[in-house]
Amino acid sequence: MIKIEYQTQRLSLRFFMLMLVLFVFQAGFGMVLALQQIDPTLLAGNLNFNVIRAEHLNLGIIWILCGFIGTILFVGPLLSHRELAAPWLIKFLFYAVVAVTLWNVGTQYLAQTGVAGWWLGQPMLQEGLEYLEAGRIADIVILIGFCILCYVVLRTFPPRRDWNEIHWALGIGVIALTLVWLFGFFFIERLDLQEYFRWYVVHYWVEGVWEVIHIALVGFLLVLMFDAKVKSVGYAVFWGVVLVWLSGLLGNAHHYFWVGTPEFWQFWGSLFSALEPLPLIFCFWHVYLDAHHDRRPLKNAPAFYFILGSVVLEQVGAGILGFTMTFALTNVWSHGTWVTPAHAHLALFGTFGMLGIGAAYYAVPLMRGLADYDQRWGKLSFWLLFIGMLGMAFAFALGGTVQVFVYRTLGLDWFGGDVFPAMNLFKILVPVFGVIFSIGTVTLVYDLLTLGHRYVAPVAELRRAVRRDPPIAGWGRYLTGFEAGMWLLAMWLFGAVITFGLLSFNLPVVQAGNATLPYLLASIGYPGLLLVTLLFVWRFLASLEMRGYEPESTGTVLPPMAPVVG
Amino acid sequence: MAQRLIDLTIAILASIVSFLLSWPYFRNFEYWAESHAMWLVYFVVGFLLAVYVFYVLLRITRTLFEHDALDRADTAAAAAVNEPGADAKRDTGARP
Repeated sequence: MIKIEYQTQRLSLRFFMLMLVLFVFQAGFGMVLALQQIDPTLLAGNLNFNVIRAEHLNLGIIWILCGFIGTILFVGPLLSHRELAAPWLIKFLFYAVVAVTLWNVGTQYLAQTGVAGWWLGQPMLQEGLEYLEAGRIADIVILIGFCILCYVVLRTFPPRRDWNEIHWALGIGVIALTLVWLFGFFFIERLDLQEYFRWYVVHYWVEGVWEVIHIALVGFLLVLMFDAKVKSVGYAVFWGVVLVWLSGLLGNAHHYFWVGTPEFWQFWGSLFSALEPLPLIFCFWHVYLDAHHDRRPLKNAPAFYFILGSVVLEQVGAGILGFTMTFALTNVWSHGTWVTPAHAHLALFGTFGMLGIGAAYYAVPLMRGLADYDQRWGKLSFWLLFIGMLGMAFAFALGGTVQVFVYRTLGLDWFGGDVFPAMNLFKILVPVFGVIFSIGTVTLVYDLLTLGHRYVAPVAELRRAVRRDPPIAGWGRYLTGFEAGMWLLAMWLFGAVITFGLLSFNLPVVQAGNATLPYLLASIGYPGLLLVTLLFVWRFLASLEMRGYEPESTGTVLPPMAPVVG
Repeated sequence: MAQRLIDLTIAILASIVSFLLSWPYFRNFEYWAESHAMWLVYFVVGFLLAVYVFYVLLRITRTLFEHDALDRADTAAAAAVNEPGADAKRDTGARP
């Protein structure tokens, strides 16, 4: 494991720690929401469902941004071979993030009491737009914060003639992060127009900007972890960014379907949404190849576990589940139902949250001066979070399928309570898996907060204690490109089953009241997809873990090349 | 050339599937009610861009695997002559 080379890299630590604190609160709010689904009177009048939901969404964005900022500050000096520019501005940025977060919580009280703080035709204190609740004053502070981040990154980077693709992607990413935020300053009374601007911020960030930053950071972390060649990684980063923008900028139109915008969006929104998973497939292969660049043992397993989780859940949550519901013909059923959070949870936490956590696992031990550390807590937290999130997605997806049928297809009334009993099983399953996720959260936070501050037996001793010299066979054998391709194909086949299940809601026989087909396809598709995902990640990590037991694990023995996929 | 044709064929087939899933047959095209030509342009441009994106994906994924094969060959060659190729200082791409 390398040592910290630049002292300003340590500034990232405070952002990683803030990320953990906010993550705990966000997960806690999520648990309360899950329980309120079962008992709507829980905390009613004190912490209403809509208030907690707003905080759950907002904190989800803020802690992920903290993870991004921490990671960018950590890798910035390594990319530039010099210290971060203007450390005092970074410290200021940290306090600004804290202030905005606290303001964001306070905003909910203003929303409850109906105070917007109108001045010059603008809502200065709170504006009540989903995901963008804070008012114009907070918007300005956030803009200043993004400008600081841009300044620090661009001033730290070397002269432009020395930039490689990773510099370009990260540089463009932070600039775009700032520019796209400007759309949040529009406040228009006509709701259909307002929705354009709201979605420009929320989903151009996610599908246009965060994806770019994600590709750049994953690429560079792979360079650090596997000594991958910058040239190859740069190629993947460049084309990943190109594909994201070719598909995502127009694909974002699937958010315009039902808000009164022109109907041509229903075609382009559907078509380009169908293309959005392509960069994610490409990203997956890039990660597979870099991780199999040689056969040396994983030095920092938890860091790679979370990065792999990020890329696989990006594929499954954003790519496959996103694909299934973004066509106008399926989205008309799934939009705003429980089918959506199955996709959203896997995509947001999986893709961006896990990246921040993975980066923290890479950075924190270095900043605490640990040459090596007990990695069992990190691995355990990964599996708990991963299984908990897959389980919640399973409950949301199947509960959503029931909801679509009884609520949308049969037209039963939510408030009449007809839908409620039909979804009971899945309403209970969400907090059940939520408990697993929460235990994972606590484990993760405990581990990262106390790394280097608690006694652990010497790592060599721990390894001896668990080493059983297992045979390198079964799930631990080398994962070839062909096998990885088969796993990927299996995921997409289940994705196709889910898509047909949602399409089947259009059939007259289903609309007449026969739910057999959509229920059958959903009950094959969702469990199949989530189970294959779980097994694939298990298989992938088992094969990498086994490298530690290989006598030839020095990078000299190379397996035969996998067939080219395409 | 044959490879390019295969890639193009796959890209066209994938685009047709995406196109069919996206076809708004449940709509009456009223947004440009007086101009069916605009709708036609809309469909054609969308389809061609979809073919291009699929085609690019196939080509670059192939190249990605070729890069990997070259990297592996370099690593193996370095190891064979007992050079510290694999242990070389991290290359972050920027000049120090």
